[in-house]
Amino acid sequence: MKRVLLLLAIAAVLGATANAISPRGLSWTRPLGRGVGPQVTRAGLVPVDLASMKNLVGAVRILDARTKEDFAIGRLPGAVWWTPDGPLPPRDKPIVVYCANEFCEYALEAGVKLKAAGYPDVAVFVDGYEAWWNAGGAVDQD
Amino acid sequence: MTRIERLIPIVLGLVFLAAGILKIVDPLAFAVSIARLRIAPMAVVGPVAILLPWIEVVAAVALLIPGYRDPALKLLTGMLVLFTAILGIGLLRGASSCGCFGKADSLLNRADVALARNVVLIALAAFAMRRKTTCPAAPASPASGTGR
Repeated sequence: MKRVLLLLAIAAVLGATANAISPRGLSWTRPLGRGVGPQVTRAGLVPVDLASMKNLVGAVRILDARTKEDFAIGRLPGAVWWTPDGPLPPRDKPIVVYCANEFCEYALEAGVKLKAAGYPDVAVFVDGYEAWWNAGGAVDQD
Repeated sequence: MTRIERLIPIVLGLVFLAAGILKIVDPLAFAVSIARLRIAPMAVVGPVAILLPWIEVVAAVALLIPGYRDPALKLLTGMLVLFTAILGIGLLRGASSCGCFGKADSLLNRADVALARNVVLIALAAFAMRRKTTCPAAPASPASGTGR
């Protein structure tokens, strides 16, 4: 048991040291960073939180920027799967893009692409599908 | 010791060395994988993502050091059992990726493949540890017999 603890102690020292000096080192308390919210705002897009998203379903065009697999398993009601490589969506409604959670950047990338293509009203549901699901929101499934 | 018994620690060591190094190279990807499993609270994600890969590497190297082989086997077996339980829960929740090998090839990181792989590795480790505890005792000394 002592040697097991010694191995763990060695690993802890090496891990902490490597993390401190590595340019890829993580924050101990916020390993995934601060989320994409600030980046969404800087990109000129509108950040939408969970409470607002509940009121927007049905009124806007919702684009899902996750993988096709995740989309098939569950998505916001009325959402359409879309990637920046795909054909541009219709311009008849405001658009809200989302992906998995606040740390996922796919929705941000999609929003930037749409804005660059001239869409006037593009928002990003920053909290993402996971927040919607955890809050008990209704979902569509294949 | 048979060839298989000599081979098992090497196989285990190589698997964990590769897994640990790939996670060390891209700790953010590993942290994201842990978060996606939705098992650990966010407060634990950072320490696990930072330290766990190094535990894998240190234990893998320790398999080759006399006197540390058994502690390393115990450590790796414990980790395997824990990972397998976590993977099982993650799979039930619909997780498809485990991040077991960092951002490496998607087949290595598929949760169902990882679960099967872990079961095999646990069996190998258990065999290696069991073999050590069932070795026959040394024969009695000839000097212990009665005098003539």
